[in-house]
Amino acid sequence: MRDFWKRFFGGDLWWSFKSSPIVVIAAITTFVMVFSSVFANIVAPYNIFDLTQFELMDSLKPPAWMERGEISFLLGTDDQGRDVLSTILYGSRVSLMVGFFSVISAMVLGIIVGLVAGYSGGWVDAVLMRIADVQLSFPAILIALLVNGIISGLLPGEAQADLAVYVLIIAISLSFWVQYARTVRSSTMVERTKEYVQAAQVIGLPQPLILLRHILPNVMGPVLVIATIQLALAIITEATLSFLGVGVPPTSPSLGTLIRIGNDYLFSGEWWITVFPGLALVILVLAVNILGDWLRDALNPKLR
Amino acid sequence: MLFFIGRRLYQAVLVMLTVALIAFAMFQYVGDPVANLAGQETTLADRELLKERLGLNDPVLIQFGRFIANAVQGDFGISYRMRVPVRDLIAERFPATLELSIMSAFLALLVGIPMGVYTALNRDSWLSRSFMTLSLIGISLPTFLIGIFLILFFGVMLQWLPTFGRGEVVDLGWWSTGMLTSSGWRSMIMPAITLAIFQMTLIVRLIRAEMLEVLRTDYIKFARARGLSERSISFSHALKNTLVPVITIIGLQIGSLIAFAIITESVFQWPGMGLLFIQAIGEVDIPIMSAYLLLIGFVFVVINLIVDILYYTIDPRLRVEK
Repeated sequence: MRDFWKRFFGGDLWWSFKSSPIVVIAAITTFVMVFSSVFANIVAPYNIFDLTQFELMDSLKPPAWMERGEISFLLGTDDQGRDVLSTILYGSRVSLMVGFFSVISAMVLGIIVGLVAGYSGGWVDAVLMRIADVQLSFPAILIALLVNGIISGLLPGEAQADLAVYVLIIAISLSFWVQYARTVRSSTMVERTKEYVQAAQVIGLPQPLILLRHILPNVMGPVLVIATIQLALAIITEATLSFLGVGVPPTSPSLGTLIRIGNDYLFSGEWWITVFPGLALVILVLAVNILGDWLRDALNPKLR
Repeated sequence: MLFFIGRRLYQAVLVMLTVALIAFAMFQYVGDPVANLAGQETTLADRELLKERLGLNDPVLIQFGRFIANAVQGDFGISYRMRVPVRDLIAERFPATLELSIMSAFLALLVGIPMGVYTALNRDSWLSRSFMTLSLIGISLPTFLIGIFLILFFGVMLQWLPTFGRGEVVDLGWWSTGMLTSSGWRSMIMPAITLAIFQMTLIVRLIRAEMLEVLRTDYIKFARARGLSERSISFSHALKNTLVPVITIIGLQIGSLIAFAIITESVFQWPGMGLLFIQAIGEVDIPIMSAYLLLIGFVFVVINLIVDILYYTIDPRLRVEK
C-alpha cells in the first residue's frame, strides 16, 4: 500500500493534478460538496425531515444579508419555513446518490454487454450492437423519460413515490449504458486475440472467468474516464427529470425537485428558493466536469 | 450509390420497426385501454363490446400489424385523458415545436460557427480562452436552469420579455405561426436562446477541434507554401474540410433539439409537442406517449438517413472504398 502511494505521488497523474490550479479547485469543491451532503445530518444547520425544526412562521424569509433576513437562515427559507441551505445539503445527497448509482449500474450493464459482444462476436455481437445503435440515435434524456414513464405506469399508485428513486436510477442507467458497451466491446475485440487470453483458454478456464479476471482489468482504463464524465451528465439528467416532475418526489427532494418547487415562487420575487439550489447544481456539475476533462487528458497518452 | 442508399433504407426501416414495437408494447402492457376509455358506469357487456371493437381479442401479431397500418395513416388512437384523437392534438402542437427548434438551430449555427472558427484560428488570444471557458460552463448548465435564470433576469427583474406561451399566434389554417406578430417574436427570444445554448457550445467545441486537426494537415502547409493568403487558407481550404464531420453532428443535433424542446417547453409553458408529451407521461396517457415516440423516431431516422447520404456525397473517400 505504501508503495502505491509513493508511486502515485511520484507519478505523472499527481504532477499534472498539482500543476493545474483550476483542477485543484474543482477537486476541493467536489470533495467539500460530497462530504457536506453525505454528512448532511451533521453539517446542515437544520434537519429538513424533522417537522419540529421548522415553522410556517419562518416561511419565505430572504437570505441573511437582505432586509428582513435572519442570520440563522443564511440563504433564506422556503415556503414551508425550511432553511434553504439545509434543503440544498440534503438535496445534493439525493442528487449525488442517484447520479452515482446510475453511473455504477450503467457501467456494470455496459461492461457486461461489451465483454460478451466483443468476446463472442458473431450474431450475439451483431444483435447487441444494433440495439446499441438504435438507442444511441435517441438522446439519453428522451430514453430516461420514456423508461421512467413506462415503469411508473406499471407500478401501482401508492408504490410510485416510495420507489421513485430506484425507478429513476434504472431509467438513467438504461439510457447511459451504450457508451460503456461500445468502448469495452472494441477493447475486448483487441484483447481477445492476445496471447494471455489464448493461454487462459488453453488451460481450460471457464469463459466468465477469462472475461472477468483477465480481460476486464485490461479494458477498465477508458471506462473510468467515461464514468467521471457521465457522472456530471447523470446528475444533470436526474435534476432535469425531477424538475419536469417525473423524478424524485417532494418528500425526499433532490436539487432538481427543489428548483421545481422554487420555480413557482420566482414571479412573486422569492428568487432564493430556486437560485441557490440552481447554483449548487451548476457548481457541482462544473467541478465534476472539470475533473473529468482533466482525467481524460491526463490518461490520454496521445496528448502527452 | 444505390446499394449504399438501399442498405441505409433497410436499416432505417428496421429501426422504425423496433420503435413501433416498443410503442405497441406500451399499449399492450402498460395500463388497460378498456379501463381507460370506459367510464365508471360502463357495463361489463359494453366493456366486452369495446374490447371487441378495439380489436383487443385478436392475436397479438394481427394487432401489431393493425397498429402499424394505423400509424402509417396518422391514426394514433384516442387520448385516454382528453378523449380527443391524438392526431389532432399533435397537429395542433407541432408548429410551435418546429418553429422553436428551427429558430434555435439557426441561432446556434449563426453564433457557434464563427466562434468555433475564431477560437481555432486565434488559439491563445484571451477572447478564445474566455469563449472556451464559457462553453465549459454552457455544457455544465442544465437547459432548464438557463431558462429559469433568463426568466428571472429578463422576465421578472427587467420585465423586458414575456415569460410564458407563444404570444399572439396567426392561424394559417393548417399551421399556426408566431412569426407574424411582434409579441410572437418577443415570446420566441428566451425559449430559443435557452434551447440553442447547449447546441451552440457543442458546435463551438466541435468546430474548434476539427479545425485544429485540419490546420495541421499537409495540404494546409502546402497551401501556405504556395503563398496563398491566410484568409483563403482558413476559409476555403480549412473550413470546408472541417464542415464534413460538423454536418453529421449538427444533423443529429436537430433531432436532439426536438427532444430537448421538452425541457424548454415546460420551463416556458410553450404549447408544443414536448409539453404535451411531458403531461402525458405524468398522466400515463399511453396513446400520446406512443404517438410522440413514433413521430420522434421517424424524425430521427429521416435525419440520420439524410445525413448519411449527404456525408456520402460530400466525402469522396467513402465512395472509393467500395
